Amino acid sequence: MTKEIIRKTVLTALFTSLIAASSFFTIPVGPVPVVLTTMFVVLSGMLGGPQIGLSSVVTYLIMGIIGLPVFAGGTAGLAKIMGPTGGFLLGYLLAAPAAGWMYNSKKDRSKPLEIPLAVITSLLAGALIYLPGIPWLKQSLSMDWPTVLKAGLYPFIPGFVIKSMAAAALGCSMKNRFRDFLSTGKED
Amino acid sequence: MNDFEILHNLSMGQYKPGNTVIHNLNPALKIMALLVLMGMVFFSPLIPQMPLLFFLLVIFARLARLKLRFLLKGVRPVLPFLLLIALIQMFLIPRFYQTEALLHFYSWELHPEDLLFTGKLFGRFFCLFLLFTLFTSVTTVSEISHGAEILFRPLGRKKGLSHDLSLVITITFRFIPILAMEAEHITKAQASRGGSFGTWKMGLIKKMRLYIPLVIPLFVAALERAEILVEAMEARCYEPGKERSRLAEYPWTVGDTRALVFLILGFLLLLLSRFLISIGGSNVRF
Repeated sequence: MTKEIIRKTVLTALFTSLIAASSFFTIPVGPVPVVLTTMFVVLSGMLGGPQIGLSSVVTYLIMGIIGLPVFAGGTAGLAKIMGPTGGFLLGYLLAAPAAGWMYNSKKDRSKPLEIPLAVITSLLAGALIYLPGIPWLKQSLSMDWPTVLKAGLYPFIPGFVIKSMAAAALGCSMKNRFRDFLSTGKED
Repeated sequence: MNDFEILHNLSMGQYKPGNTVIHNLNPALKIMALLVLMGMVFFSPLIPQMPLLFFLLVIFARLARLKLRFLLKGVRPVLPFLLLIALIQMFLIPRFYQTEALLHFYSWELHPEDLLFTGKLFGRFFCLFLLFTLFTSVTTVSEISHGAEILFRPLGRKKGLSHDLSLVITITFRFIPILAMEAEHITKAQASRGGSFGTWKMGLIKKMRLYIPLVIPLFVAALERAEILVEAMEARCYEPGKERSRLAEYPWTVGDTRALVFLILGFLLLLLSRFLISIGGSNVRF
């Protein structure tokens, strides 16, 4: 029991580190930069399970709120959450446990069933980030619906789809390793 | 080669060691002061409170013996983004007040409201940026972890909740430079095997495919380090939820009380000035 809790704690910190570290890297493609943070948020739920995924995202948001520069581009603060893009950050709270719940990495499945489930999980969990993000952006900047969709949703769709594919591939590849990591403590 | 210097390119706030009044404050008080000053920035109208608040932050920087150029060196890349927000506001957002236009340009008009909004946007950004870099310059990660544990103690119905959160924050900030170093090593190794990192002449899909050989080894290495850390913690008799002592103690001193009183007085002064001073009548409030 003790070892299991320590493993969960360290894995939570590991996912939080990956989410925070990915905020420093952007892939400059065309006018819209692709940020890997959303991919790691979905992966934390898929690989760690709903509880660890939610804990990782909560810790990440708390660190950002108290002033550590872990938000996109090395920014920080409660201002980010109260600002126009705050809805996306709160969407992380929905995406990580949803990915963990839908994917359920503890279950064994055959390969033809594993890959489509990972793809669907990545797409749906990633879409959950935009569900509070877009209305929040609309309300914050007093935009109308066509303008907010044009500014906050349409340019990000290609990057979103490709990140979901990458998250699905990584989820399938890494699933057994993370499951073994978490289950090692239970054998003692 | 700049693409491979991942550790140097991290835009993290850098801690500057010092023995000043600001450095030696209680970490929980520093976090609380950060939150209160953040609220003050958002509560300040543009004239005259915002410049006075910026000046106050400059005074704090002087007390900590930090150069203003060092604190504001990261501002430049964000300025075009701020200008973009200002332009979006001018062209897309309907105006709330009916004022005389300063300038006509085809079908678009420049109003005093636009100028005041832009000034407020830039003023807020400069104040917040100075505040955050000041905070990270005078506070170590360990102090932030301890301060977070103290501040979150009232939230924990279970005894170990604040300590667990503090532990996760501490481990997270030990992991981040490790992950950055690991990513740097993996990037260089893959580049020496023929991977085209840093080349911007290919499409989005190919570029994303290049990051798979970076992310999978990064995950594996991170998981191995996590395994080592777990075994080391177990070997050192760490038990979750148990009462534990602390290597570094942060006692509350008279200087902390003085700083707290100063902070409360500052906030009350801002609150008072907000209601006493108004520009252009009571219905125009920027």
